[in-house]
Amino acid sequence: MMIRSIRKAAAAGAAIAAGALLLSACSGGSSGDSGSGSGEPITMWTRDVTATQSQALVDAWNSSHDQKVKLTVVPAANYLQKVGVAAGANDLPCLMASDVVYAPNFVQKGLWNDISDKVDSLSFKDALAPGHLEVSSKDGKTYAVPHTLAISAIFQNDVLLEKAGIDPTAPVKSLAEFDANAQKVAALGSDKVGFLFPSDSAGTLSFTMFPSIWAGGGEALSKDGTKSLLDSDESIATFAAYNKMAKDGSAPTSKTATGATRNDVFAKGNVGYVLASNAVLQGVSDSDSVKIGVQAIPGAEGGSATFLGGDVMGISSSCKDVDGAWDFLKWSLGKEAQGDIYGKLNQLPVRSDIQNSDDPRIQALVDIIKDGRTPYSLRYAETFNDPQGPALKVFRDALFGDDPAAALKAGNQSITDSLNQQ
Amino acid sequence: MSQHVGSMRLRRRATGAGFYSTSSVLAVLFLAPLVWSLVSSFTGDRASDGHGPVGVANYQRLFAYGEGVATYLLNSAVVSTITVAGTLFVTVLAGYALARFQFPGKNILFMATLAILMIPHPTILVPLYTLLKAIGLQNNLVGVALVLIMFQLPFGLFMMRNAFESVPREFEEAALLDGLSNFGSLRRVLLRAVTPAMVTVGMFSFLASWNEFLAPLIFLSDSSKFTLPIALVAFRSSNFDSVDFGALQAGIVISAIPCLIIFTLLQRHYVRGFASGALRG
Amino acid sequence: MTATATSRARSAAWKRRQRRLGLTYSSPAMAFVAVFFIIPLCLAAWMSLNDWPLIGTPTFNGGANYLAIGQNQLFLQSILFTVKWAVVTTVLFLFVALGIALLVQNARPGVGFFRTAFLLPAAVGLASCSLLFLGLYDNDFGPLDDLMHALGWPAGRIGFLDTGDAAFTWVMVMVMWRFAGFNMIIFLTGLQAIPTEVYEATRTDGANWWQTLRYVTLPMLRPTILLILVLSVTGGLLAFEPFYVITQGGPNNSTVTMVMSMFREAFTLFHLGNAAAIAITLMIVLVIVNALQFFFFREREERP
Repeated sequence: MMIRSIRKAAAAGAAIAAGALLLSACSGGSSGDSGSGSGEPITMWTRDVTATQSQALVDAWNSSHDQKVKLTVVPAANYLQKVGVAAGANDLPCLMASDVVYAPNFVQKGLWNDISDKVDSLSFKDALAPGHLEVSSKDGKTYAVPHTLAISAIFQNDVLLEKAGIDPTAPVKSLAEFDANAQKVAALGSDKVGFLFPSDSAGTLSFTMFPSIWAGGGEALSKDGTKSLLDSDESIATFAAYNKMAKDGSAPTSKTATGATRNDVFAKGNVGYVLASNAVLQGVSDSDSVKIGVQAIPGAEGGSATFLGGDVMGISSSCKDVDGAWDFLKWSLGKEAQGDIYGKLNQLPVRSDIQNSDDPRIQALVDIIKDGRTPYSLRYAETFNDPQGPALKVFRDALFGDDPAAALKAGNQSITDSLNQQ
Repeated sequence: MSQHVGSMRLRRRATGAGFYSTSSVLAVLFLAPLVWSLVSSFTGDRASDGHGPVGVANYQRLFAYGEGVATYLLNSAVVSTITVAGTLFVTVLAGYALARFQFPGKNILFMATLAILMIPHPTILVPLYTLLKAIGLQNNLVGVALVLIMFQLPFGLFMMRNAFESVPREFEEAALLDGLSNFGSLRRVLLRAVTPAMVTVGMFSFLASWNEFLAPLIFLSDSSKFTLPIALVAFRSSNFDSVDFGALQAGIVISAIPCLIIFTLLQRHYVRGFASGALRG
Repeated sequence: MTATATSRARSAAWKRRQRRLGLTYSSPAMAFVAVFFIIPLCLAAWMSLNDWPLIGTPTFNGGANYLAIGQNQLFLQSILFTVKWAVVTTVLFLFVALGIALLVQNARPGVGFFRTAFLLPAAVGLASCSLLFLGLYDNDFGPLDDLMHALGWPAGRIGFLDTGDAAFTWVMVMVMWRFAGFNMIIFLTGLQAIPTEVYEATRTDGANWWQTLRYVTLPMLRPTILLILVLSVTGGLLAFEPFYVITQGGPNNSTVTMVMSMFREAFTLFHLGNAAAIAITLMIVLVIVNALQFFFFREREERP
């Protein structure tokens, strides 16, 4: 009796398996073909953090063009892994996006085709996010164009600020001023947090700390990305300011905040200011307890700047249909894509000559872009974004230790060494 | 004599109460995080889109995501079915061979199979990708399933070998004497004895393939072929470092429901004395 | 034919049949292992002897990648941590899983519910599990700190992951939760193979539960214990996901495992050859460790 039911199950299983075999063999036996002539679908990979925009673009393109684009959304934490494995088998997709800070590395490893002529032919080339183009270029040749823009800024909860007696429309001009405001918010109650800067995450820290250094007129890295300048005066002033905030009650929970729960915590309505990326607007909606406002990141004493992050996209060296791929890429930078599609999604346009939203917060963010930069280094990922890289420890020592200047001076060499390694 | 029976009854009642109280406490501990997950998937701002404390917005977003949950569930089901069927087929036969026969290469097979456990997955995936591409099974659910079968072989083989070895030889001899001389019938008898082990191997290969994330991600390029775990990861990574916890919880719940059904149906196969009962009769 | 000649012939034919049947039954397994494991393994071994770039031709560099392991600070410091992790989790698994298996091995009303409850954590993928607990341990977002305060824990922030040791402990809680049921099932499978007559006999002999456990149950569970040891030690030494997701190796690289450092070599630094060398080294170490476990737990030849 028992055996009969097991045998039946096994038979059923075998039947399903055989059916599945037939189905899969008929439908998907081919490798991820990158298109062998116009007509074949063009393959495209993006990281999951840009899934919404990328999918919207692809859907719009596919509804109005004969040559389709096949989008694969890959989890960001595994993106490099998937690229690495596919590269070895020369199986990269035609259109391949990348976190902009990895672009120099991709260029050096020859993962993208040279598209200089095509980019030069664009009428709006000069309006494209300059930081992105710079890091995607080498020796005067361009290899990728901007795909999405993620910039760092300070987002505030207007509801909470008003309760604390702070005018939400007034621009906050320095980190010291943020400190003072945050104290007022924290005084509202023991569950209220004045200022939150997630710090227990390697990827976030350079993104959020570097702008203050730039706003103060300093540099974080040398121009060729091989030397760390984080022991400069502006850098020390920046870290000292945040250090003070962590200690004087403005930002007590920042030491252990990883960023993973940032949106949910901000959405609860108990945080005055959060230092984050414009993706906050995607993940948090206004409600009774939260009304989101935007401030530019200032330096310790003034100025403002931002980190031009996000993704760039190029045509991979495995691609067999470069022209078809370029058609899509060019279209993705056009008025329909950047204006209508990105506008509806609250996405920042990657072109400064297009305005796509009436939302004042988007406009405020767009205004910040002109003060933005993208740092360049071949070893950016393993130095700053990797939790096992040297930067995380140095940053955290400076932010939460007793002597930011000493921590930065002591750790600067290890960062330079990592930036320099072959 | 009556005193002895009385004290035994008392002991049995005491162990009964002890069983239920201990087990209940443990059950609460084990279930609590999942209950939190279930409750959280329906509460909070992401669940209600900002209107009130509860809502199903997390699930609505999940069902609308990508190619649709049904597609991912189907892909996962295909991969899991092939993996379970393949694993059982290979390991039951091989376990029987290892337990009962002498043949050249016997020890090498066992050691080589166990060695599969000992190589870190991320490294072996790189050459596996090249291999699958060479035999045309890259970007193919069957290719993924074959790799997953390979990953299940160590546990399956070990389990089945243990199971066959623990069946007393009298079992087979009794069956032979009863006139069951061909091996098919012998297998029919033996299989009854190792059913719990087979259920375990089947269940575990189902779980492993159902939850497997990395191999399908690396080997599949068409997002229409993605399995459920991949879709869930992409779904909950709403942006830069921040995790959409509402999405995470909803994904956990959806993914756990088939497993829950399977556990409930199969747990009765672990009743003690099943095999020995058959032997006595 | 004489009696000895027939028996000799029968035994020779019998041996041949043994061999034939054994090979036939094990041929699918042999095929799988050869194609899907041995071949890629050889390729990985070849990779470890080369400077293997992402795109382009590799250059042979002999054992240079292996020598580089000795210079890899991150990997070296991860060894002690990973070994500690493997040992502690294995010991705990043996006790906890056997304990709950003994608890639910007999059929009773409701035992099915309990077995399912203990096993249900295994329904959640390891990465999802890790994120779930990351949320649980978050003081602002998760309920665990509030619960602990309610149960009398001193007020103030509870730093589940603030130090290396705390992180070790609380990640271990997650792994225990996730895998105890899994190991319980393995024990249940082994337990149910013990014939009830054996227990009846020991009860008649007047043994109490501890003596039964020590002299009857445990010896008969030898192969099962060996299986759990192999799985747990190997899984522990190859631990990756829990720390990758929950602590990301922090604080201060105090919770970096060997596979995490290998992952960084492979997919952050794109040194595929070095990573392959680490993987092969790890595999050799694991083979040796498990061979030792097999040796110590081998079945004694005599059986009553």
